[in-house]
Amino acid sequence: MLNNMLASYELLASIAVLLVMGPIVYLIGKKSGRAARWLAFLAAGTSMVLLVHVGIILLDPYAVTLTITLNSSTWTYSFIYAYGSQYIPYALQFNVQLYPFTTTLNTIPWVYSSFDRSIAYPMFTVYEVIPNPTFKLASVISQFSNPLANLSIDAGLIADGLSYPIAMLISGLGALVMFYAAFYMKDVESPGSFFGNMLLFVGGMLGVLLATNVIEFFLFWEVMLIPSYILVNQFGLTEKRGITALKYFLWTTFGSVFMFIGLFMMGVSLNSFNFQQMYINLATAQTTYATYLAGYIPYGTTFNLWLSLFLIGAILAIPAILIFIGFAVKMALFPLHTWLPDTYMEAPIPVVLLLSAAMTKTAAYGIARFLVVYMGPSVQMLTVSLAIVALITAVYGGIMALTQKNLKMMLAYSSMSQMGYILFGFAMITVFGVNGSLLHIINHGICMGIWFMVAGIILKTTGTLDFDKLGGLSEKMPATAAIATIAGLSVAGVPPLVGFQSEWMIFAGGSMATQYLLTGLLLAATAITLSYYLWAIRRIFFGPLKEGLEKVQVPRSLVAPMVILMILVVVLGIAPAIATQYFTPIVNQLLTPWYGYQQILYLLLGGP
Amino acid sequence: MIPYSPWLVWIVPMLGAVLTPVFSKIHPKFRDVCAILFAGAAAVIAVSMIPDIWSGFIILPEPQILGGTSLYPWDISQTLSVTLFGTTVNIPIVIRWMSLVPFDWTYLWIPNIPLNPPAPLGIWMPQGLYAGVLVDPLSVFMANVTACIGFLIMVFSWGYMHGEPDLTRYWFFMNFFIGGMIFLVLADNLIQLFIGWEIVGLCSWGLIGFWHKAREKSPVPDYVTEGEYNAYCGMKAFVTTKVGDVALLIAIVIIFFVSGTFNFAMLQQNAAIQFANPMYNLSTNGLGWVSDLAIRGMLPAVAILFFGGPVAKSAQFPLDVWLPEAMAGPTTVSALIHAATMVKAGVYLVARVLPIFFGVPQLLQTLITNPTLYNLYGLTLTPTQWLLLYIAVQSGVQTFFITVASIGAFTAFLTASMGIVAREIKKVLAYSTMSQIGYMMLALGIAGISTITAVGFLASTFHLMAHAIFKALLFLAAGAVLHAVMTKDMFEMGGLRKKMPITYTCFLVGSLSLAGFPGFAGFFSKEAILGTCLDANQLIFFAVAAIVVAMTTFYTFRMVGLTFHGPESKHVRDYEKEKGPVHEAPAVMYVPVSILAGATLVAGWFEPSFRQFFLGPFYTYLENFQPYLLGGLVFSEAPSWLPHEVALLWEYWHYFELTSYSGWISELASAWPSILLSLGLFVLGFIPAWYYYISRRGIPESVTSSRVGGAIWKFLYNRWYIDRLYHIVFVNWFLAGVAWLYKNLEVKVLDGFNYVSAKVTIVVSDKFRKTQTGVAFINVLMIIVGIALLAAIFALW
Repeated sequence: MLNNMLASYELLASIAVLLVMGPIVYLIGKKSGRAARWLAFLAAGTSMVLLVHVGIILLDPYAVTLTITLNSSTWTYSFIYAYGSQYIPYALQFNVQLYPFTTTLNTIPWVYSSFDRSIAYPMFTVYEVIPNPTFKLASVISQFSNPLANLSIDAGLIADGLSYPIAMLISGLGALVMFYAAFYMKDVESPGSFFGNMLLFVGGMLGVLLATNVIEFFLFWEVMLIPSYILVNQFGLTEKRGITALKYFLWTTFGSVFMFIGLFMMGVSLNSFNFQQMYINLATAQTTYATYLAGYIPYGTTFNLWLSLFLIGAILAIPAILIFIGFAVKMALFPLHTWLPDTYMEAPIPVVLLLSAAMTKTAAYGIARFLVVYMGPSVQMLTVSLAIVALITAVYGGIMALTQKNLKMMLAYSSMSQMGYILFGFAMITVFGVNGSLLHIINHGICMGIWFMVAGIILKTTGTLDFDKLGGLSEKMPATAAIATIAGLSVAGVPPLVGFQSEWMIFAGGSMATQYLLTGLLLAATAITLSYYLWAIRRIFFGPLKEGLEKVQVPRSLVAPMVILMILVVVLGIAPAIATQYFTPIVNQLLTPWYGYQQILYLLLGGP
Repeated sequence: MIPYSPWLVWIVPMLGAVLTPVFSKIHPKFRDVCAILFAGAAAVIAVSMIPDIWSGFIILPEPQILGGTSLYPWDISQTLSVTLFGTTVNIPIVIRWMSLVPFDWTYLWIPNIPLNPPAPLGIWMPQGLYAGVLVDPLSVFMANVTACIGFLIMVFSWGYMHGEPDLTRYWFFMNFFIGGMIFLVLADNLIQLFIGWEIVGLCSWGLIGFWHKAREKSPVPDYVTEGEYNAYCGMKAFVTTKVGDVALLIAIVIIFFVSGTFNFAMLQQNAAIQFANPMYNLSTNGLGWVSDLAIRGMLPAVAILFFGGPVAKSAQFPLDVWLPEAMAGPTTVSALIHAATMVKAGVYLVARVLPIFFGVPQLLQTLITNPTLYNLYGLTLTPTQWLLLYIAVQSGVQTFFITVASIGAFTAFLTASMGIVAREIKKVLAYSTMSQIGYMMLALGIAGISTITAVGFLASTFHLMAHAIFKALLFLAAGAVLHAVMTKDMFEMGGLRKKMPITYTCFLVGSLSLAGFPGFAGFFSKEAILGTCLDANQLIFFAVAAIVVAMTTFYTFRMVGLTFHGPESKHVRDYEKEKGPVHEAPAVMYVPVSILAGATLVAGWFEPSFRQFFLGPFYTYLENFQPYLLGGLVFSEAPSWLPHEVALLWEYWHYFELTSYSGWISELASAWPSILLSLGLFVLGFIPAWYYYISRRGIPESVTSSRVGGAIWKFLYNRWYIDRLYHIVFVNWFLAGVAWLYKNLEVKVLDGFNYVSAKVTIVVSDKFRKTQTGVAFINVLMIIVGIALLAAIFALW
């Protein structure tokens, strides 16, 4: 029990340490660059270690659930959410539940059955933000859920199976990138600004992931944007950094506007801003509405459930599309991706590492949380449109990457292409598709981390990233070549690496949604991915050593973070259950009831 | 069998691969010896699995405890009483200590995803993806071929690659390849098979491009150094096979959607109707996945997409363009990967799914003619629906097998024609490999479209084994020759017969086997395939196969003659002046070659034992996973109108005929027309080869530079221009198109939008600024106008 209390505080500490140390590092940086660098690494490392412990407790099968309410009307405390078939929000009465014990035989089914668990740290609740709203954007849903609810903001932090793996990815990458940057940006002027902003950037991203409600999500979204703008503006590599940073900022803000309007509309429609309460309200509304429809339509319970879901989904489609546009800008989906190539070329390597491997994941998480895991079945009519956008992104990014002559540009387009794969899995709204996409998020984060670190090493030691000038570097940097090859193969989906595990699940998900043609086209795009990675590896590393490269020597300190990431790629490829054990129970539980829904739709509409 | 051998046989080589860098830090020789020892251990473990298949049952090293009730009489059933919080629950448990072959040995790998588990009837298992090995005659056979020939090639490469730099990478990829290939053949589900499939593709890429640092001049003008060209060849192989892999994966996920599982056992059981565990039944009308695909009209498409994987991996037309370039790698790599094992993976996959596809129409026929049975399985179709279903299934399955046979036959002809004019010795062997695999595909296809399935299947697998042995032999002997004279081009060799007698003898043995001379392994296997064509009355396929026999003989003895007979070439004479006389290969190289030559001589005579291995004491191979349910006669070759007991007797007589020596001899005796024809074709192909290349009486240039002969020669030498076409379309045009798209769409339009919108904003705000005059009179005037407007609006509304 003490363990669990501790985990709750650790969650808060993991963000707080980053946000507090940011300004401190900025101030210290004015005196000593070295202290700033290592303090930043220490902060990021602490945050990562804390989150690792939270993850261990999240899996504890002997956890005792304890919910205590302090008798105060404005403060509530709760520690662990109980095992149950639905989410239970905050503020419950005092009760104690013990988990079933395991026995010596491993075949008893309910020990392995799905559970959803989360660790939360509630901070405060602001009641009656919009007391008894006089305007309702979607009265159909509201009148069937809880018409007397007040829209309040329960601010807090929550790490459940969906947010924890991505949060772990981001904080882990943050720590490794800080270590890498400590050596790579040794001689940067104004180190305080650089490392302080990096810490705030990582802190903002963690906040986005661990947010409990819509308003908090948006708040941290903006907190994440500003340090990254400063980093690109101040530390960009060319003269055009001001313009490029402004381009990035304006595009993202334009997306945020759409996203905020959509989220607000969705919150008002469902009578709550809290994620979990929104889901409960949606499920209640759907059941009540189905019962209401049963009075008018005589085709049976299943059909009524489906029809009510369809109609509610039609109402939620507009906020969903607005939200999607917002995330589409951040994830750089076609055609809203134009900020990506220039920004990635402009920013220095440690910043690009965080932009590509971490920031785009927050957008993917947003899509998972809002559009898929919670609202998924309701917005199923958007499946084909989203899938087409995803497919175009994947193919377009792939073929653009094929023509590039500069490694960083190629990696930028590759990053965009993989976001297409992730969206495709989410668009399918099936258990396999969503699980595959979540695992692909982890794969992409790790492998892009490796590849941009490789690009940094090549830039630092040879001074160029052009394919025409590079060649035969495997002689001088054999470890880097091997690690880069493994990362490239993982992105292309070659077993026994984690990219294959995520990709087969995405394709299986597409098949389960009966979208064979789109799945087939996406599969064909993997051939393009493999081609440009193999070609890049061949042009950089294989063949005889080009002239001018004889004096290349790679410092070990820059290779060390890549080795850790490579081990993760291989280990997760052989045992993906380490990562999937977090999110498969939630996804399974929330989407499997709707499995039958797809079959019904298929039978009703007929044909392949 | 050695305990846990189905798992160890692939884990041990992979472990050896991963430990190779560690060993190399200790001492290079230690690393070499350990790499070979790991491969040897894999061979020993693989051989230890044979007695279990022969006997037909396996005693498990540790008993499995499963929940549920078992139908098999040898399982021990218990009831477990659990008392929890005052309530007592009785849970039925099965203790399984032995199993009949085939045995599916699984462990839970990824839990909590909604996949139907490979649970036998009556058993409960938690949902999720299971990793497992399938202990079954076909997989153990392939594992043995891979492990034993792999071990011999590893020993050979110790001598061949002696003194090369970067051997750590070489041993890593070789061991990883052997582990991956065995993982592929022992896989019990499609995901694991695909993992092994890609692993061997990956190792093939790494090993073809092994000499990427070579600084000699490149043989093609597109690249500067030979190292770059080698790396390009590796990439071409990987990307071409990836195209096939994409098709295979599409088919796998579609099959997954309609069947809910990846496991071969479950797929076979549920192919026609839902036989399996009712706890995991996805289908609402009782139909199996093949039937489901058929009534949706998707069966031919899915089956052909599925076949795309084997087409690429086994280098059949139209994805055969990578194998000749793959000869850029070391000869040991060509022997292991591109002759004996990886290219056979496609044949293995087709053989693995053959019983699944083939059995469905048969089973549907049995069910239609037995109304009691389809009531038993809860099927709800009317007779018309049954008829339509049967037509759909039959046409889909037939399409698949005819495609397999046609592509096999066409590839055999196409690549044999290319082999006739090839210059390099390894390229001739590469074309020969593709051609012989065409034979194997042909036999499997015919097995699927006729009623003599067992015969065709056994012919194909026997040819697989014989070909693996003699092709590895030929490649290794060619490697010894290459090592001795340092050239790949046959026109620069010649007269090596007296200088390398052991290599010559072994090479001659291999060539005779390849050409199908009586007594050698290749003769019996080729006769089996030709006999299959005749027995199934497929005369067109028989004609193509026969023509290819003649072509095979011709290019084989052309190769022998150019390399070993005739006068020495200038290159050899110059080489001998510089480096001394050409000597025989060292013992570490000629011993494995001789072992393979001995195997070629002997293997053919054991064909009945080979058949016994597959058919087993219970004759359950083709029925694989449905024994004991319908009396074990689901996929019977007996005519369906026979009563059940008579059909059983027919089965056992047929089994005796196939697996006994007397039956074999009478089978050969009754095939005397075919034997005579193939001998005649052998002579037909041998005579020109002897005339032009062995005895050197004729001058080949007189044929190849004449008008008609020259035109044909040019067409064949350029590989029918297929490779050129692919390069122009898929590389040149594609890259040019994409570069155009980047310049015109991405940079001009999409990025340009940013600057256009910025300009528009500036222009608009400039114009709008003019309205802010700052003159007091105008401001007051506008206030009055505004008030008047608002008043009007309020008044009207």
